[in-house]
Amino acid sequence: MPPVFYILFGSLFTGAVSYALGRLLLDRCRIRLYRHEQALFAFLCGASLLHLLVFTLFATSLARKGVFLATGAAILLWAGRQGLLRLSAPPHPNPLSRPWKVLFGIIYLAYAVLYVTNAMAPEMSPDGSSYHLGLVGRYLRQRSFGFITTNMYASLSQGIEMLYAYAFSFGRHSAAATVHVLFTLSMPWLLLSYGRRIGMPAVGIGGALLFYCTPVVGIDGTTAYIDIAVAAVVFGVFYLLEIWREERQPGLVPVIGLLAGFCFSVKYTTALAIPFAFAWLAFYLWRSRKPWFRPLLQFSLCASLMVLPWLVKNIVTVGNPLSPFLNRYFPNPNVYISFEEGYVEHMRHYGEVQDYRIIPLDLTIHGERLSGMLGPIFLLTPLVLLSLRFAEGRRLLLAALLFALPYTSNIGTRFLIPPLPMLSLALAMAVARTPAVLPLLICLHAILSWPHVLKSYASQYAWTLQRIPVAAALRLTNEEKYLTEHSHGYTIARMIEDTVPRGEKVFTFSGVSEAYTTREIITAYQSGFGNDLGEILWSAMYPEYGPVRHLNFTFAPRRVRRIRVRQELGLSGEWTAHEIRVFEHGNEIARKPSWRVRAWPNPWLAHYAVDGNPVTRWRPRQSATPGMYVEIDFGEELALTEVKVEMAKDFPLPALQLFGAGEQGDWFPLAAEAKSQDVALVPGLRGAAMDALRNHGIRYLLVGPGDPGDDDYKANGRLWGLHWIGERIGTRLYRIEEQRK
Amino acid sequence: VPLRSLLLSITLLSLLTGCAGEPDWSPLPAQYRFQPDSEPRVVGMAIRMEEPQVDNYLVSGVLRDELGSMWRWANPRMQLRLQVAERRASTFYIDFVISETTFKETGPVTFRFLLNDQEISRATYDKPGEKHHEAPVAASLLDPTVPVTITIEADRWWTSEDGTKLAFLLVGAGFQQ
Repeated sequence: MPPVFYILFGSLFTGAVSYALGRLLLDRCRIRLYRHEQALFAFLCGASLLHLLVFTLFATSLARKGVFLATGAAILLWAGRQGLLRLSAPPHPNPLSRPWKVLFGIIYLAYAVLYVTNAMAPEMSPDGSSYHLGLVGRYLRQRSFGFITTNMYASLSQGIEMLYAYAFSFGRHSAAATVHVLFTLSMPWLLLSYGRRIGMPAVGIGGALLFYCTPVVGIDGTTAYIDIAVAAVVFGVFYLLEIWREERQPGLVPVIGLLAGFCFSVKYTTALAIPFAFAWLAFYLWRSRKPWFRPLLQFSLCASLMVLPWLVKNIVTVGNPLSPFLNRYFPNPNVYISFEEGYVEHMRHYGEVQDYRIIPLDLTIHGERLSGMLGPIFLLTPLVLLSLRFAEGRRLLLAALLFALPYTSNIGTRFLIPPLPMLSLALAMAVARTPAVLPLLICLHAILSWPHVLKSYASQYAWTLQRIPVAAALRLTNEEKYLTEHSHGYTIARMIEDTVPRGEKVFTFSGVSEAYTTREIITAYQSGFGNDLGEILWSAMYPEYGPVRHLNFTFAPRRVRRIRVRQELGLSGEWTAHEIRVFEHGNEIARKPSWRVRAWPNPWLAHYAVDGNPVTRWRPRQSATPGMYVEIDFGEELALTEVKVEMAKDFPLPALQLFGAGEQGDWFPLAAEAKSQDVALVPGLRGAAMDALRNHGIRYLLVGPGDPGDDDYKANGRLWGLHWIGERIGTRLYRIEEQRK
Repeated sequence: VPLRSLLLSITLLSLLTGCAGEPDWSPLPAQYRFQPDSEPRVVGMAIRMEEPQVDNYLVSGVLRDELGSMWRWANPRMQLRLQVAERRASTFYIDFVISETTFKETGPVTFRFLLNDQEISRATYDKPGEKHHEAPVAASLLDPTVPVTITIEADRWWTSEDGTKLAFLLVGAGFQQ
């Protein structure tokens, strides 16, 4: 069979099984919908159930192609036997006029060709080929989630990725992207259907096409990203709430609960749908003086059904139900508090965007800095206020406002996609009553968003669709050749696959297209473990990270069993301990196996302070506060006269105090302050760093141009103990030589 | 009463979860035998001023600066040492900056580049700014077992108020093999 068959089979089978599951659910709940609604909500609700099924299969190590095929076929058979594969609902009462039908048809089909070809072309989107599908591939290889603690993306909820896994098992990467395009192609119909339900079909068409043609929707919705699917689920919740408000069908409540819970399962930030839907139900029940307990309980239980599996998975795997966030409340070694704070801050500014005044033009016209653009028509967004005249407009804007809130924590354009359907409808509603304006806006948006037109005014770096890759989509162009020509990430992943033996780990500071390699990649920024490895290398290459500051506590001879080095004042930064050494009259006391060490916070790295390796270090991984300590128990009383803490200079000089305790355990001060001394870096740290990496199971290093140490590895590879084994597009792969004797 | 008990239990449980226990002890890890002499060659093929080992490479004629500084002031005659990995034809390169301040007084500056006192290249610069210079080096001039001394001489310089002669800012230098 040609690859195209497997791609289409994977995505369409996933879509069909979702639809069948959804029909079964809607039928059990006795929900009455119009025809288009029935199809669309069957797909959306079924997707939420299919995600749960795939989750269960991964959680029980049963996930494999044969099981997917068998369960899918059984579901289709079950729905077919009950006559649920055919649409049975009545058509919408608000038909479209012919001109609107023609306009919708032409634009929809033109963009459908653009979108489907791009989705079927080899997948090479940055996030799609790195972690969305990288993790999917890994789960499928191990047939379970496994216990991944070295990639924070594995701790995010991955509802859509569960659908991708289903399709991926049949048609690999492009099948997953094509599942996303199913959501993208569904969205205009969903918005149109909503417009017809509220008696404003023109608004439905306007909202549908404004959303559908938006450049960021095109590029995101045709790759293995997840944002359009997320927007579909969020809008689905809003739409069902509107139907429930109108008709009060009791069966809708559990379905709304499932979909609202699914909002959490697909993306943390859209978990807002749960309180939103809860408040909506509670408000209208209260206003109509109807019993509230049972519906709200039903809603909560159904939402929990979607939410809890992900929370439990994270508790079991990484010790934090909402990892990689809230680590201050759920301390764990897998994502450090300091990393989380830096990451959140970075997302708030997207690296270099300090002046928020650039955002409107970058969002709509340039598309250079915020990863994607909405198109110039969305400069008219303030007009949405005109839709406040209508009750529907007010509710749309309320929902849009709520789902736009996460944008304040991440200013990437993608984070405006969840409220975009509501905004598009509100914009269409605002101008719909002025003759000719809405069709004009739609046509203008469709033209301005077409890739070949976009190139004439958007930044060359804008994240948009570039072409209609028919030959690549149909695999008339060799997939390998296409990916090699268009994707640096793929080329590097292939180098890893070809060069690194199976079962080995590769450490890197930059990301890798993990979807195209089966080797485990440890990226410096993706986990606490990765952070630690990165710091080990920095300690050997940057002076301020090395043990160049010694704090010497000297005191009159005392016999102590335990010592504790404690932070006394709050610091904006941290303090570190590469090594803690103890002396008697100038002679270092050799460490014994009976010694023990502990620290607070970050107890997991306490051993680094007494391991003898100058490039490993304990640090609290959060701003230093009074009371933080590192403690050593010698197992017996020792006579001491001096304690030395070797630390780096990347943080301000800390205010440390030294305490001791005898056999009885009563603490007493040994030295109130230490003498700080700057010392020269000793040679040999490069070798020590490589030894540390090797001891952590890392034998391969991937170094991109400009990565820390790139120049030094090239010039002094032998001093590091690195053997250069491959290079693609300036990115080098090194093997760490065996430990030197 | 049951509701009150429930609330009381929940409150107590919440308070209990707020109590953090003492962190666990870790046994002493296997001790690493750090070998400061594990870099038998003190210097490598290339060095940039921000690197921690920079002082090992600088022989004379370069002003001290904070560790991590991206560049260092050099006198009209400065020396550094480098050691190649293999004996083969190589390219010597140097990245440096001619400051606008000094250039205003000196005008065009001519540099001589010597390897173990043997001139390998010469270049004149008539504009200030960042400079990159390369010179081929024959294999016979290089020995992987011993460092070579690179001397850089500038024919013009600027003298500061304290009498220090400053010629240029060194960023990095090395061999490409």
